Amino acid sequence: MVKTRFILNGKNLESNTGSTILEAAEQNGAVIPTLCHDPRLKPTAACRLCLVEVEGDRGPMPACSTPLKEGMVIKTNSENLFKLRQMALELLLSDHYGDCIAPCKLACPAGIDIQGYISLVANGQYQEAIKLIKESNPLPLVCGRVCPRFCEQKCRRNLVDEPVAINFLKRFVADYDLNNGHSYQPEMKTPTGHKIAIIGGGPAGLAAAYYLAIEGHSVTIFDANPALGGMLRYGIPEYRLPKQVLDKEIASITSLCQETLLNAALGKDFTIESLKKEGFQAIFIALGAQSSQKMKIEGEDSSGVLSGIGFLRNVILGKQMNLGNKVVVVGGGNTAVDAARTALRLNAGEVSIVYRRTRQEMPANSEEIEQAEIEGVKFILLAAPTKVIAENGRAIALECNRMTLGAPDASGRRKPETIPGSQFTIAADTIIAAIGQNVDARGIPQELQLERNNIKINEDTLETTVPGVFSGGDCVTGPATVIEAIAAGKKAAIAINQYLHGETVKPVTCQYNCSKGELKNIDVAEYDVVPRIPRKHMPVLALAARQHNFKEIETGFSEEMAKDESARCLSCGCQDVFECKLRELATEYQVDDTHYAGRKHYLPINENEHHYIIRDLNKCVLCGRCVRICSEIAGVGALGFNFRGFNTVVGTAVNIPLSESTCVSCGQCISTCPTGALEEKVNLIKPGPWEMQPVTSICPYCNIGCNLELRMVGDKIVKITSALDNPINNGNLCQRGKFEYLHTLSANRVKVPMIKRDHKLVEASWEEAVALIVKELKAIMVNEGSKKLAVLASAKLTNEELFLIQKLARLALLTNNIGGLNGPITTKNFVSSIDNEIVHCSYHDIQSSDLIVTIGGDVSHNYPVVAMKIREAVDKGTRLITIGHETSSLNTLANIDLKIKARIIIVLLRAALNYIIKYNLIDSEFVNRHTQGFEDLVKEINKYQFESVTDLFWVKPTKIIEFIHLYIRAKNPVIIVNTDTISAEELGLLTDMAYITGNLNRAGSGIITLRNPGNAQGLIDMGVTSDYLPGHRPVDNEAVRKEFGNYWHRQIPFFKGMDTGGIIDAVKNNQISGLMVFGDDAIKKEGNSIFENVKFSVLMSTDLPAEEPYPDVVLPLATFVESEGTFTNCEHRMQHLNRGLPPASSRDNWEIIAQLASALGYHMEYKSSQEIISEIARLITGYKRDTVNEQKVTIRCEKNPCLMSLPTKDDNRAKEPGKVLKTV
Amino acid sequence: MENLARTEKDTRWMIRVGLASCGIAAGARKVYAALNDAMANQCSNNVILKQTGCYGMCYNEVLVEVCSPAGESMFYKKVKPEYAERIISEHILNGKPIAEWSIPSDELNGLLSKQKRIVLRNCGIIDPESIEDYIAVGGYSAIKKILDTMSPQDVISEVIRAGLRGRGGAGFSTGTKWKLCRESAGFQKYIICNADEGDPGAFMDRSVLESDPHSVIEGMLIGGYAIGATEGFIYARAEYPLAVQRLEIAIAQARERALVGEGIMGHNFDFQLYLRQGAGAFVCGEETALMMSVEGKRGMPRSRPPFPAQSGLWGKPSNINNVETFASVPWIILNGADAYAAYGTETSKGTKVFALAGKAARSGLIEVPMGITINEIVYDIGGGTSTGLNFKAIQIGGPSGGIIPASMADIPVDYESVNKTGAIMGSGGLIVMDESSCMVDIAKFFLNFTQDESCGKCTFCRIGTLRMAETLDRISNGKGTERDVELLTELAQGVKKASLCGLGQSAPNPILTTLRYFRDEYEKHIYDKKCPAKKCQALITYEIIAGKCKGCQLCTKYCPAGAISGEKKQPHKIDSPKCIRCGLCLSTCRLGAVSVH
Repeated sequence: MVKTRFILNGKNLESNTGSTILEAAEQNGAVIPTLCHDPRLKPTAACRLCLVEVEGDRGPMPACSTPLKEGMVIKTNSENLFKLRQMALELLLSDHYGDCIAPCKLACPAGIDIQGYISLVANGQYQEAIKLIKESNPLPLVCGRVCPRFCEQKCRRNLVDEPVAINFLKRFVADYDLNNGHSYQPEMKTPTGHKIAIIGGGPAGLAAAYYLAIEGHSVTIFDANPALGGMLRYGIPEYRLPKQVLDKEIASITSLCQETLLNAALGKDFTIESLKKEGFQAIFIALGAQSSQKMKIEGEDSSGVLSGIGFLRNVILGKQMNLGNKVVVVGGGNTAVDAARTALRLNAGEVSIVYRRTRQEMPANSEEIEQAEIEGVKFILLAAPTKVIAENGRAIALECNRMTLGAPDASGRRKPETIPGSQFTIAADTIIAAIGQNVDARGIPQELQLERNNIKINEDTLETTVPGVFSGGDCVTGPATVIEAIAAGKKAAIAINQYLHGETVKPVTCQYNCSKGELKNIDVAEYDVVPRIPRKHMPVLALAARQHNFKEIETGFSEEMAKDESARCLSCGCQDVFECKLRELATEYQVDDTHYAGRKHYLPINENEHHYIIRDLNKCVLCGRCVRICSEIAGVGALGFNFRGFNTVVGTAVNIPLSESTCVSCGQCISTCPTGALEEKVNLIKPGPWEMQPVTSICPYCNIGCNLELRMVGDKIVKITSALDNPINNGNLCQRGKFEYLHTLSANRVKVPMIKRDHKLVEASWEEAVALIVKELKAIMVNEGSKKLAVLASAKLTNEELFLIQKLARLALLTNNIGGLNGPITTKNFVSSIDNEIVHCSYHDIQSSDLIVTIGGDVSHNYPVVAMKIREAVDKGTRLITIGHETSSLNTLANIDLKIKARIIIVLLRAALNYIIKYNLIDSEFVNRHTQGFEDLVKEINKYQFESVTDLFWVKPTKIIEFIHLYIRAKNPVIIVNTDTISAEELGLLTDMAYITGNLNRAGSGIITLRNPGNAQGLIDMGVTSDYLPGHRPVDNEAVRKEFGNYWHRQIPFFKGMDTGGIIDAVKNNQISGLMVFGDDAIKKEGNSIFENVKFSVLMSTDLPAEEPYPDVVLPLATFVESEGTFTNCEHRMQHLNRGLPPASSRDNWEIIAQLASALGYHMEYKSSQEIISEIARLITGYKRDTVNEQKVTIRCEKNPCLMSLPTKDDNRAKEPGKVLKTV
Repeated sequence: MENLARTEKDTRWMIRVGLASCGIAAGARKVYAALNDAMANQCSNNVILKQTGCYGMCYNEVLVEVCSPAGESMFYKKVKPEYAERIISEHILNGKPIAEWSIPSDELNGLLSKQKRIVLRNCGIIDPESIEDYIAVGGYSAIKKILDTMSPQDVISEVIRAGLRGRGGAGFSTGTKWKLCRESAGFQKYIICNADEGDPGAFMDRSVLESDPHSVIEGMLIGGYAIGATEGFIYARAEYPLAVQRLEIAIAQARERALVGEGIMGHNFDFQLYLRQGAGAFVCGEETALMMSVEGKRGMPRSRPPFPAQSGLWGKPSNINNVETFASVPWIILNGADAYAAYGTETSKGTKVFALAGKAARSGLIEVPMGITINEIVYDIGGGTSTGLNFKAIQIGGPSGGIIPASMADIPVDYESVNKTGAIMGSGGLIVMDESSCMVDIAKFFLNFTQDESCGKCTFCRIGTLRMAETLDRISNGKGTERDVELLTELAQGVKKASLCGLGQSAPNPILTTLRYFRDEYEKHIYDKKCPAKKCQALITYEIIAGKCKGCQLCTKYCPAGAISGEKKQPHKIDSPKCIRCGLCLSTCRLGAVSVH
């Protein structure tokens, strides 16, 4: 390849001549940002992000469309360019309406992926859900019970009815994980040997310990108390958080740690110095804030005045408390409510809460307040204590002032103000002050600096003033919530991990986030269409059941409640958040989306517009990729630009719904969309989003062999995509490849064997089913002979499966009645007409060809991905001839479009051959050197005179002559045959035409035969035919039979078997007694009726037969997403499928086939599908395994599959005299 | 006054009626019919009544020219059908011109003496629907000359030597453009005439197409011959129905006479010509968008390179010039490059047609040699402002152009000098503004225009122009802040630098030039919340001057907001909160009793 030299950012580089600047940079590993570029599409330079500076040019140039020139001096990273790109992104995002991340997740201090786990709950994937939760919060059992739920306040569902019960769902998942036997265990990294001390076993300490332990560090937790948990244990009453649950959660963390040292207080039992001496390389201090705040009123020190947390702690420690009859609790937070309810449980007669604001302002959870009221707690609101009235040093009453609410204060709440002269007293035996906590500064080592009584740290790194010592949680922030402490613990773990790896400790980079705004700024009308569904309420113990005891009140959601509640989630966060190119660039370019704030698009989303696709134009950046891919590649043109200026939108013609447009549902638009504007409808109750794992597979629907990526989350396929860099389809897919898998997920799957009884299919055990099959088939073999048995197989099965099926037929059932369904051209005809091992052409040849002829049905309809390749070639100047009767989107691109009815295509071909022979347009040298049988052909073709038939066509004879001449003159003509409508004889004539004109067996020219099921080629190669053994070896050849017989240690049956058509006819005529069908694809045309006339039939199928007549036995069949193995495509490329899901029956297809064969008397023993392909490789040339990479099988001929070995002269294989020339 | 000379050898009286859009709009068809009737009544044989195109004095339409057999010509302005009988009876039958209806000679002199009509040479003189008329004034002799005597290279070098620069706006050398296209590899080449005139206030191309379509066709034939194109397209606005109609007639006539088609004038030169109508998208005046539209696609510009000369219409080498450029070409061929280059300045040669509009006293179409000053155009040709208020600035180059203040109006009009001011020559729109024009408002108008007409393809133009328009809107609404000027400057520079096509790249010009020359006006809007031109509604208040108001109640009647109150014959008052600042009171008051602050 010719190279062009250029200078990029001061570096001398070279790149392929003819590249654009963007491609040249990419070839050299330099990244230029872009949104509108897709390597599959022509450049458009719309987004203006790829602007670069070219020396000598007036202004910045778009790299995507500017051709590289020799000696160009290019700059891609100047400050000026940074600013322009930033401006472009800020302009784009000034008109972007949507939430990247759901507001619930943003509100969560720990950043739990709430939308993600709720979606998983909705889809029933609880294991995945707990895993996702624990990525951000190792204490879901605790948090699920006591979290203050900042998330629910921001839930967009507030605009519809009530927020989603996010926290109850978390608790459900955590409880489920705890109770289902095998709790989730995180994956641990290899031990690093670093020792870390965590001081304080509260939520912050525990979280830090968990994440540091996962990183492979050796963690020791120190705590001054007799048990871990901190305030979780000593501050929250049993009825809210049972200690047994807490213990389990703590144990799940400590089990990952090196050691836990209890009753060990900092400063007393050890010091920072002593820890360092012991080899601890990092120390995390999370002491909490456990001393209670004073009310600062007169008489506070009287006996009978308790602190809230002190009281709760004593109760938890089991100390005897004498509260008297009347208890007054001061405060409005959770501690106050906890204290009040605890007091009730300790048999206090009357419990009141005194709070200076109203109920609305109480910081305690609303459910707690509600339950407290139900239990009998009285609320004295808008009252502030002024004095404890004591008698003999013991409190007897609390004097208070009435309050009123004034203007909002710094906290945003209205400030309580005293009403002068409104004093009143409340009688009290015990007064509990629960107005807040402080950090107990006495416990903090002197070497640490303080800030407002709290430990001073660097906000970004959590490092204290002493190197290697980090701190977080309440002791840094002052008293806060559990979830904030957990967040601090995780943040500290990240910082400490960086510190231990010798990296500079950096704050976690904040990703760009687009938001619809605060709840109050959103137009409620947007949510008008959302159905109102009441929030599921947490079931609680009946009042009687909880009085005077500490039983847990909230009993948790049932699975059904959890599913229902999770379905209420509005899935606010963008589906594309993990892959969005816009977000990635906005982060990189530090975008402020308010900088150019102005008018925005608010366009309603029509979710019912299309079966597979959702368009959200509010997220569209008008890059035009969808518009271009739809017309340039898919050739459909369903999308275009409507309107002008800022009002420009991508839409359909006159804005009809997409499904009513010319859209063919290929999903190509989704594949190219750089944002979340185009998404597939996910076939799950909730769509995520999640980070998905790709599993590579091959599309089973036609023999193009498109490469797929199954995008998995746990045990679910979320969607199917295709990688841009694969050599077959370059990321392009059609509707079948993109969406057809949905049908494999149908609810009607066969999961266990079924046996027909009284016209019904009933479930049976494997043993029962296999025994029945063996009994019946053996009986037929003995009584009627193997000729009465037949086997049919689908070409959607893998090579390995097909190979075993023909072995089962020949060696266990001793029959040659084997057939497979692979289009109208039967296997026998196909093998004989398109010679044995020759693959004429690869897809690569379509691109390098100068003339493409398509013949038969509409290629763009049946084989869209090949049509995309044709379109690309035509765009580069390749000529195109279309022959067929269907109107195709390729017609308009064709230089010659011969509209010829399907039934007279054969006449056309004969006439064309006649013309070529008559006017001696033959490549004689090629014919003489490479072929035989030319004279026979001439004799045959002379019967069909060109001139005598041209009247039959509705096209002018000159058009036909033009086609012939173009074909003869072409350097590398490729004929693409849609075999759906082409007969074997026609295929033979086409081959003949190619032979006599010498347009075959040369790089870049030949014939591509497109057939329908994905492994149509493999089916023939594996010998699922009556006449051929694997590798197209004729079964009627004794030597061949002997060779295979020796290999397989059993004689190959030698009677002439029936092919597919023959078998089906025989079944109809009652000539077949026993029938085995593998894959209902194999009998698509006939359907179930085929089972009516046979004595005994077995069907191996993915789905249950819908109606009678039923086969006698139905066995489960795994789909392509559940199988591992290989397919062979029409280029003879062997490609590997990986398993995405386990088989529905949990048995592999090959396992079942082998079991059947063994039971029927031919023992098969394979440990894996790899073993089968090894056997295939030994028997068939070209199916050799890759010795370098044992996991994968090589592509059969990597570069140019058409250059396969040609058959030799003495190979005496099937030959149809007079019809087909043979190469020699 | 050479243009007025009779070209036809005829001894009869001739009456010319300007029947271009401007004339027709003023009622020229009725005048034509009335003259016809009058002739039929009074005299039949010795008078020729002829429809012609636009003579450029649009402010005087309906314009009727009467030529005596001796060659003396006289223009009647603002003619009404009623005048017909008298014109025939007095002027033609009695040889007594009617002085009170005619254009005074000093006005005519002022208007015409500084003009040089090359492009407009036949406009208003010949019948645009008659190929015979065009041939009679030497039409199609230029194409004959080159086919007989010149090679394509000769034509190209002649045009290069003439110094003709693209009159569409960019001012690229036409000859060089042809040369590049000729040198481009490929058998099939196209030549395209850009007749998609979209600038608000510009109507040069329409006038030429309506008045002299054959000169454009001849120019295209010459261009086609020079670059080796065998097919040509004229892309005209569908909103110019008369131009389209006359073009269709002209093409049909040319085809009939084998001036378009195969073997033109017996030479081995084939040239097919097609007319395509645009659907009124301003951006389709951009050449790559225009080609997309000709191909039948949505007109959206694409990035260059590759240039149309390399890959244009359907990927083939193509050349695009505008109407005025093509119309100049036959004159250059016939009169020689030197004759053309004799006009204009060192770098900007020849003449330029301008559509003089806005507050000019004498608005219309003018053709002047390059290098004339703005002052000469505004005062000598345009007759100053129509309102009597002071001349404030001129907008040149349409929405992509810029504003040049009166203080700089002594600069010569040539490509380089105009560019130096921050404006551009553009296609020839000249809008004269007086003191009542608010510069923020003007910039807002043009930004709204470019925003509406942006094709929506590239980020900067699609969103950037809106954000600029919004900012201007804020400023004119009195909500502007100091940051807004910064924001405008930042956006204007970004959009100018990074937009894909000329539309976006030049859209900020009105902002940049007004900011440069009238920054104080922006500041007054922002800091003082005042609009000095008293234009921006949010920043003005209407008041009734008690001393002048006689209480006639006319304003009360007209006020749509019911904001004016007062007893009859007593001074009225305007209730400011109710007032919607429509200005109706100001325009209805006959006593000048309404003032604006």
